[in-house]
Order: sequence, then structure tokens, then C-alpha cells
Amino acid sequence: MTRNTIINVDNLSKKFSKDLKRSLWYGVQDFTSELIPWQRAGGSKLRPKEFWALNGISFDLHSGEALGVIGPNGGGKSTLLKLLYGLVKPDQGRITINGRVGALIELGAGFNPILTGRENVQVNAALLGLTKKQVNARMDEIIEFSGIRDFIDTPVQYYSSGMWVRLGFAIASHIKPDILLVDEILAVGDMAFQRKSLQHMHQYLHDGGSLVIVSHNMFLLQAICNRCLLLDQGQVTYAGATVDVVNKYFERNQDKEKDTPRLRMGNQPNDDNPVIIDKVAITPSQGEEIYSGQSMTVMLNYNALKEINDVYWGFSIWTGDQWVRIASGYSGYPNGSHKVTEGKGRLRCTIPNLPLVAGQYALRGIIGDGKTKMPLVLFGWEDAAEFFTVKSVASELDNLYRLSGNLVNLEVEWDT
Amino acid sequence: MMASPYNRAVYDAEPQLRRPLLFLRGMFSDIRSSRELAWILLMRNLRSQYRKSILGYVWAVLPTLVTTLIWVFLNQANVMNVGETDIPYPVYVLVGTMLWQGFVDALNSPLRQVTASASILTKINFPREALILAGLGETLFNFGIRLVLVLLLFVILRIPIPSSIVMAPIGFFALLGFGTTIGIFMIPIGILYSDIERAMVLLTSLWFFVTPVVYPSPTTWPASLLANLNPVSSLLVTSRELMTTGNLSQVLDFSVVTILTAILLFMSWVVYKLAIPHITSRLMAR
Repeated sequence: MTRNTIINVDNLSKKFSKDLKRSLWYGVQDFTSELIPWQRAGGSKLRPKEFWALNGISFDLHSGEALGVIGPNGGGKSTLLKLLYGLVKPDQGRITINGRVGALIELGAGFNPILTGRENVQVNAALLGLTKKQVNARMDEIIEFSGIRDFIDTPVQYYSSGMWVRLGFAIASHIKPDILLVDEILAVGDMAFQRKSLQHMHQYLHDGGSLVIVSHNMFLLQAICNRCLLLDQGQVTYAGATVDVVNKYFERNQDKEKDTPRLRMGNQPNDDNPVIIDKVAITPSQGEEIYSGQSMTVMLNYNALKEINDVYWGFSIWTGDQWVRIASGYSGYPNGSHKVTEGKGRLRCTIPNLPLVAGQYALRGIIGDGKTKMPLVLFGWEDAAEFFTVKSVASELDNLYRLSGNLVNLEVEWDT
Repeated sequence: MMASPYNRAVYDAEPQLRRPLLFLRGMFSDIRSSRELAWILLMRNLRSQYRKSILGYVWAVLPTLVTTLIWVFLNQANVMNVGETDIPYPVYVLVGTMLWQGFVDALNSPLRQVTASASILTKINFPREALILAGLGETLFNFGIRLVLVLLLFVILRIPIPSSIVMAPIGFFALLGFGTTIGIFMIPIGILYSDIERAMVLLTSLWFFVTPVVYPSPTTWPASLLANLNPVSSLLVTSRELMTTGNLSQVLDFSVVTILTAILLFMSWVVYKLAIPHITSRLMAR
């Protein structure tokens, strides 16, 4: 443990039971053995119907660092935060913390619906560790930050969910611990609010704070964190620079996709769905691998029950987590200048100069009816999209673009 | 571990009592830092409690008044013969019910407070003592309202008030302290299993009948055994005597129970503090 290590986690394990009755009973057992200090802690063995929610986790957090934790649901992320916060006790291993810890696990937790916003600010801030004096001094600032001054003396039970979290965040942002633990709360609220919370996180880090943040929002993690852990089934399966970990996480998901049968609206066209899309693919016009800036062919293979006239078709490219639609190409929209023929067929187009920055992307396809403008069939919306990897010739500039979250390359003619 | 979010903390699987001094220090630093929070929580509870009510604080005294009236009626109509009391029966019942109500409030408050806060236990690390203190504050507040009412009735009905009444707070604290202690001991199991809360309802109504609240305890064996073994008896009887006659009949019992209460209260606090992280694990999630 070096001098500026602010959190040290050593071989940390925590078990849980899926069965309610057993879980409660184990709770009684654990608590009873806590009362008998000379008894050896029996935390290392699993009892019936138990599993390791966290299993042998080790990592360090240094002062001023932001660590992201990603992983599938049930991977142990929230459990880790609760252990770091000291809400629950490890079954094995040790956590050492040097500094004051604050956590944002749920915004507006403990709000009393009957009380007004102002009253709840007092209570919630006190729970989070602010003194009455501090709260009163910052009350105006908090109300201002929340942006709901008109409703501050209204019982919070009449708040919209957005107002509720805004107020919650406004309070939380005024606690300034040495280490802040954040659980997936930045992905709430409208765009302006999300931007505000992100700005706040940056400011907090800039002021010397340290951060552990759990999120499914990869872009947020890339924007804030230097390092990430990939937590899967209670174990750290990968740790490193955020870009690499995010990449690993996508690869993991892709591998899973390959293993699981694709969910489809139906494998055969029928009266309700007269045409289905078998496949959407992007392939390089030359060579095997997709390189940034090269010519690509996009193909859509369909299977139609009958000939359909006046259709449009298109594709869209999404980020690997399918949160952001980057670009799309539609042909024949709106009136429908294409047609699909009976049986299997193919639609094709070329992207002469693929502008994507290296990374993981998803491809979705559509065939639509020109008369109603409604889609006839979608590929990749309710079912799995087609994933593809764009590579680039490694360069420092290219890495900078990746790290700063760029998605596309812009053609620029610079004045000399 | 669980030394709350202050400067240096080590969390591991070892029982906390392995390091008793550290644990003890944690206890006292937490009680210090929880006072202000407890006050804020108390204010929140008091404000929200009656905000949706028209009668408001009348509800704090209504049960006591109604119970008193029922027993006075039963006695006068000779439905129940309660035997001799050394003060007028209505006064006996009124003071008895007021004290008993305070005891029951104190008994139920800890578990109720913690259960009501289950959702924040899994999300915010704050000194957990604050919940108990806020609950105790609420009990005292409601008790105070009833006490004021009782004293007001004393004055209106020209019932003589003995000088020993200045000592009565000792009785109140012992009585409420005993209830709180039992209540805190119930938390660890009670929050996991709803059986405890249900059993408490049943238990308190049985307890009522073996405690000299509305009738004097039986003096003949074996029925007297119930009263003698019941720790609430001496606490309640002594408190009532301090408020009415000033002649104390159970000083020894009262002293023993009070001292035991003080010791047990400290132990219940230790148990509560040790149990909290384990309880939180089992509450977890949303």
C-alpha cells in the first residue's frame, strides 16, 4: 500500500443466498457468531444455496483517481460499493480506507413524501453527514442547483420523478468527501441534468476528489474514468485502461451473442410479417478486416412471402452499447422506390469512405413501406444487432480520438 | 469495522469485539455524531406524523383518555371489580394508563424506527444510533403531552399533588428506559422476521393484564408471583406513587430493576451495533 493509496481492497469476498428463508436464517447465524468474538469466523465456506456475490477481489484506488466498475447485472458491482461504503461486512478479505467516504447509491433516498422539498433537504443532507449549520448555509445554493425553486415548498410526493432526482442530486453534490462512490445515478434526468451531473463529477475530480463509479453507460465511464474493472460473476475478469476494459466488455457480450440463439421476430415470413431480414452485414470492399477510411459494402438479405412494391430500405450504425445512433443511410424514402422480390433476395450499397473511429459498433437494418412510412421489418431493434469491429492503423492521434470518445473522423481541410 | 465513514476505516470479516477498545471508541464517537441527526429525524417524524391529520396531537392523548374512561365505567357499573386502591380509582387508572402507554411506546419504537428506515440502511451510512434516539425522542414527546394533560386534570379536579412528584422523572426514565432496552434487543431478529412484531402486539396485551395498570396486583400467592416477577410492575407502581401519594411500596424492586436496566441498555446498544451490518446484508437491494 503506497502513500497515496486511498482504498486498498485485498482478496475481498461476500456471499449471498438466493433463498429468502435461508438468507434470513444465515443472517441470524452471522449475527450470533459476531457476538462470540473468540469463535473463528466461518466465512470461507458456502452454506447450502449460497453463492459468492464477490469472490477474491483485489484492487487499489489512488488519490485523485477515478475508477469505473462495469459488468453485467448481478456481477457484484453494487455489492462492492456497499462493502466499500461500510454498509455491510465482508465475509473474507479486507478493505482499508484512508479518507472520508460518501456515496450516491440512490438519489433522494429517505425522502419523506409528505414533507416539502426544503424540509427533505435538511433531513437528507443530515443523513449524508452535513451539519445543520452547513445545510442552512448552503440551502440557497442547493435549491438553485436543483432548478426547482418554485416547488421547493411543495410536498415531494407531488414531484415528478425528474424533480425528485434533481433535488436528490442537488443535495448530494454538496457533500464533498475524499472518496465518492457512485452507483448508476448519473444516467437519470434529462439531458441538461445529465450534463450538469457530469460537470459536477469533473469539478469534484479536479478539486482532488477520488471516485469509484458503477455504470452501464460506457461513454460516461470513458469520459470520467482513467481505469476500469470488469466485474463478472463476482470476479474481476479484466482490469486496465477504460477503453480496453470497455472493449473487453463488448467482446464478452459479443461472444455471448454468438453462443445464444438469436431472438427473431420469426424465422419465416408470414401474413403478418410478409418480409423478414435474415442478415445485415458490413464487409470491406477489399481485404478481410474493416479499416477506418476504406470502402465498405453494406448488405441486407431478406426473405419475402410475396413481391412488395414501393419500399424503402436503410441501415443505421450505432455505438457498441447501442446507446448512440451515429449515422444512417436510407434509400427510397419516403415514397418507396425499391421493391422486394418473392423469396430470398438482397439489397446492397457502398460506403466509399467509412468515417468511423476504431472500435466496436452495431449495425441495424430496416425495410419500410413507402405508403404508410411504417417499417415492414426491423433488424437489430427488438432482436440482436449485427456487431462489427473497426480497426485503424495505430497512431497517437487516433488513440487521442478514441480516448476522448470520438466516434467519427471528420474530413478537414486545414488552412496553412 | 463499521467505524462509519470517518478518516481511516478497516473493514474485514473478524468479529468487531476482537478489538473491544476500538469498538467502544466507535460507539461513543457515533453517539456524539448522531445527536444532531437524531434531532433532525425527530423533527421530521413529528412534523410528518400529524400533517395528514385533522385532530393532530389529540391522537397522542386520545387512547389514554378512552382507556381510562372505559375502565372507570366498567368499575362503576360493577362489571369488573378491581379491588381497593389507595387513591381515587379514576386517578389510579389515568396515571396507570398514561405510564403504561409510555412503556408500550418505548417498547415498540426501536424496531418500528429501524423497520421504517430499512430502505436508507442499505443506501446511506449514517450513525445508526440516531434512529433509536429519534424514536426515544418521539416517545418522550408523546409522553410529555399526556403528562401535561394528566397534570392539568389534577389541577382542574383539585387532586392533591405530593412534593415527591419532583422525583417522578426518575421513575419515568426507568420505565421508558426499560421499554427501550427490550425494544432494542428485539431489533436484530425483529427486522428479519415479522413474527417478532406480531408477537409483540400479543405480548403487550397480555403484559397489560399482569401489570398493575388498571387494578392493583394480587397480593396472595401464587397470583402475586406474576406481579413480583414482572419488572414493569415496580417501575410503573413506583412512578405512580411518586406522582400521587408519595408513599413508596416497592423501592428495593424498583432500584434493582433500574440498575439492571442501565446495564442491559448498554448491552442492547452493543448488540444493535454489531447486528446492523448483518441485518443490512439481508435487507440489501432496493
